[in-house]
Amino acid sequence: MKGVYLVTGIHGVLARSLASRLWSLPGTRKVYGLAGPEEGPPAPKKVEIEEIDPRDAALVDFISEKKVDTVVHLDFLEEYRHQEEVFDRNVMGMLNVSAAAAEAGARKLVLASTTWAYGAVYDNPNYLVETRPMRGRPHLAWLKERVEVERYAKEFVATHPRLITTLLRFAPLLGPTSDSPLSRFLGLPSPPIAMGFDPLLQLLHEDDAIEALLAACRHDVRGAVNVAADGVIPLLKLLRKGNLAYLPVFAPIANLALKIAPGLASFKQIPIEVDHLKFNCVADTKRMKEELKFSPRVGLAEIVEELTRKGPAEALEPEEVEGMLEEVEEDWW
Amino acid sequence: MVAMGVGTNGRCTATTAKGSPCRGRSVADSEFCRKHQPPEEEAPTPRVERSLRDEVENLLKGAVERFPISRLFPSITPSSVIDTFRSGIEKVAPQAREELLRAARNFLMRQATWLATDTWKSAWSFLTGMSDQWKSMLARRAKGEYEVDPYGLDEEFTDWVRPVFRFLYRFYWRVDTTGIGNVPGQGRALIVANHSGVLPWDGAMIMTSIWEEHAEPRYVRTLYLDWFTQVPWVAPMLTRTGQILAHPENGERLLHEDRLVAVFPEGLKGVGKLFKDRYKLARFGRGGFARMAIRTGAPIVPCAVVGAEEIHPNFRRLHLAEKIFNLPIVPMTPTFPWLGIFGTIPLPSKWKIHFCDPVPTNRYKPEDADNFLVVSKVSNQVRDSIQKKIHELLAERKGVFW
Repeated sequence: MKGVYLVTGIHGVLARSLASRLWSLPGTRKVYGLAGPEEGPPAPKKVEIEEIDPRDAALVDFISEKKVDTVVHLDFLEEYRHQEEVFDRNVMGMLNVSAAAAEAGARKLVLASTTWAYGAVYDNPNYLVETRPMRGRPHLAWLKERVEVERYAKEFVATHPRLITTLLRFAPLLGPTSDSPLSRFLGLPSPPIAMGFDPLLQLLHEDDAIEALLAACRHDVRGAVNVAADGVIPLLKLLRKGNLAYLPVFAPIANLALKIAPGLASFKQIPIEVDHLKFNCVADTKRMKEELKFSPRVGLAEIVEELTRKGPAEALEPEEVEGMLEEVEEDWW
Repeated sequence: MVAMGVGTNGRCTATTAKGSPCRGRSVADSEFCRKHQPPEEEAPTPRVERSLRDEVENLLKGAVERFPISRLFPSITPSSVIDTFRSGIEKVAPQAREELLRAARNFLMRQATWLATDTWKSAWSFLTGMSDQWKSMLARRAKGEYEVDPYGLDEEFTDWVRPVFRFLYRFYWRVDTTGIGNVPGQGRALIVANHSGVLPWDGAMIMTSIWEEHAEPRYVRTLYLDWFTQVPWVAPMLTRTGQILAHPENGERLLHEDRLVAVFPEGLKGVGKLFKDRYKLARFGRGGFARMAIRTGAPIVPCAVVGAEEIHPNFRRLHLAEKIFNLPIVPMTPTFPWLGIFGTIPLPSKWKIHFCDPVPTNRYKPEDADNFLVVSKVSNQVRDSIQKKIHELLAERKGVFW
C-alpha cells in the first residue's frame, strides 16, 4: 500500500531523523522502524518500532502483512576491526532485507552506501560516475563490508527488475550529530595526514543525507546515485579551517601502522584509509541533480564553517543526541 | 562610550560608560581627567617630509618603469612598489623618517654613499614592507583562506610560482612562439604536442606561452601521466597549478566545460626517446586524444616543440634502475647519474614552439569516436602536421643553444 514505510536500523541517528521526517512526504500512512535485538532510545513520535532482527526470515511475513511499500535499509555499523557479528549484521542483514522486500512484494527498496566505496586509486578519473567499478583495496572492516554490500546490491538490481532499488552513495558526512568516519578522523587529537599529499575531498551535511533519502522515497530512481555537496575542498584546507593540529606521516609508515593497528589496543580508532589521505575520491553528482532531482541545501562552505564554529566533532553522549533529536522533532511538528 | 558633560570647576566633564558623570580630577589645561583624555591627534606630516616623500615616490616610479622587472614579475608595478615603500616607511619612527627619505632619494639619484648607514636603513625599511605583505598572505593561507576550483587549481599559488616558469621561458630557454593565434581565446580546444626531454618541461612551457603571448591568456589543463599522482609533493603541486591526470573521462569532462586542454599522445615513449631518435615522433598512443576531440567536437591544435629534445640528451635507458626504483624512466645523460641531483638541471637549449592550423572535428558525429578508421585518420593527420613542422623549425634554428 502506498505510503507505508519501513526503516531498518532505527536506533541509528540517520534512521531516527528520517523516520520522523517521512511524515513530511505526501500520502504517508504508516512508518515502521525495525530495531535489532539491542536496547536503544525510545521510538520517535508516530513511528512504530518492531523488534525483528534484520537477518530473520520472519521479515517477509511482516512486510507482506503490513503491506509495506518502501523499505529503507539503514542498518549498518561502521566498525574498524572485523567482528563476525557486525559482518553478519551488515552484509547478511542487507541480503536478507533486500531478498525479503522482493519476496514480500514491496515496491521500492532504498539502500545507503558511501562514495568511498569506489576507493581512492591513483589512476581514477577526477570525477567518478556511478558505473565506475569499485577499485579500492580497503583495510578497514566497515569499508570492506560496504564494498561487499555494493557488489550484492549490483547483482540484486540486475536480477530483481520488478523492485525499484535505489542505492545512495553519500560523500563523507559531517554535521552536529553525525558520527561518520570523517568526523571521527577530524575529532582525533592530531589527525594524521600523508606527507606530501593533499587530496580533494567532497562533503555532505547530515541534514542533506536525510533530504536525499526523502528524495529517493519520492522519486523512482533505479540503481546507484552519488550524493554530495557541490565543490571540493583540499584535505589540508579543511584541517586548517578547522584549526586542527595535523600530523604529517610518511605514507608507507602510515600504511604499515594501519596494517598492524588492529592488533594493538591503543590504536582502536584509525578511522580513515591511508589511500584516502593520498588520492582523490570525488564523485560525479550529475545523476543526483537530474534523476533524483535533488540538490544539497547546505553548501560546502557552510559545512566547513559549522565545523570551525563547533570545533572538531566529538563523540556525543547518547543523552545529547537524544536531546538534539527531540529538538529537531519539535521543530518539525 | 565617553560623552561630553557640562560645567567644569576642576572636575572631569566626561560621562562614564555607566552613564554617571566622572568624579575624577581634571588634568591641568584640560577639561578631562587622566583616564578620559581625548585620543591624541596625530601630528601632521611635516611639509619637508611630505615633499621628500613625493620626490622619492616619483624616483621609484621612474626606476621601476625603466627596469624591465614587470616582464618577469607582472605583480610588480610602479604603484605596488610605492605601496610597499609607504607601508615600510610608516613603521619607522617619525623623527627618523626625514633622514631615511633623504637617504632613499640620494640612493635613487645615484648620489648615495654606500657606506652610510641611512642608505641601508632605507633599503631595510623597504624590505620589511615587502616581507609584511608576504607574511600576511602566508598567515591567511595557513588558516585555510584560499580557494580551489573543481579540479584543485589554486590561482593564488599559481601566480606565486609563475615567475619561475616565466624566467625559464624568457631567459633560460628563450622560447620563440609562433602561430599563437591558432589557439582559440575562448571555448574548447585540444592542444596536441610532441613530447621529449625526459622531464615534462615542454608542458610547462606550452602553458607559459599561452600566459605570456596570447591575447586572451588562459589556463592550459595539461593531462599528465598517472604515475605522477603517486609522487609526494609533486602530485599536489601539479594539481594546484591546474594540471590533471590523463584519463579519457577527465579530458572529455574538461572539453565539455569549454576549457583549453593539452595532451602529449606520445606519453612515456616520447619523453623516454633516445637522443638518436629525438626528432622522430613515437606512436601516438591508441588515438585516445582524437576520440576525445571527436566526441566533444573540440578543434585540435597541433603544436610542435623544438628544443626540449636537447635539455636532457638521453643516450641510454637504464632499465634495471627503472625496475629497482619503480620509476618510469631512468636515463643516462651527459650529466645525470654522474652529477647526482645536479644532473636533473636541464641544459639551456634554444626552444621554438609553433601552434599549427587547427584541425576541426565538428564535421564528425560524436558516434564516430567509436569508429577506429575515423579516429586513426584524425590522429595521423595531426601527427603528420606536427612532424612536418618539427623539420621546418629545425631548419629555421641556427644551433642547438642559440
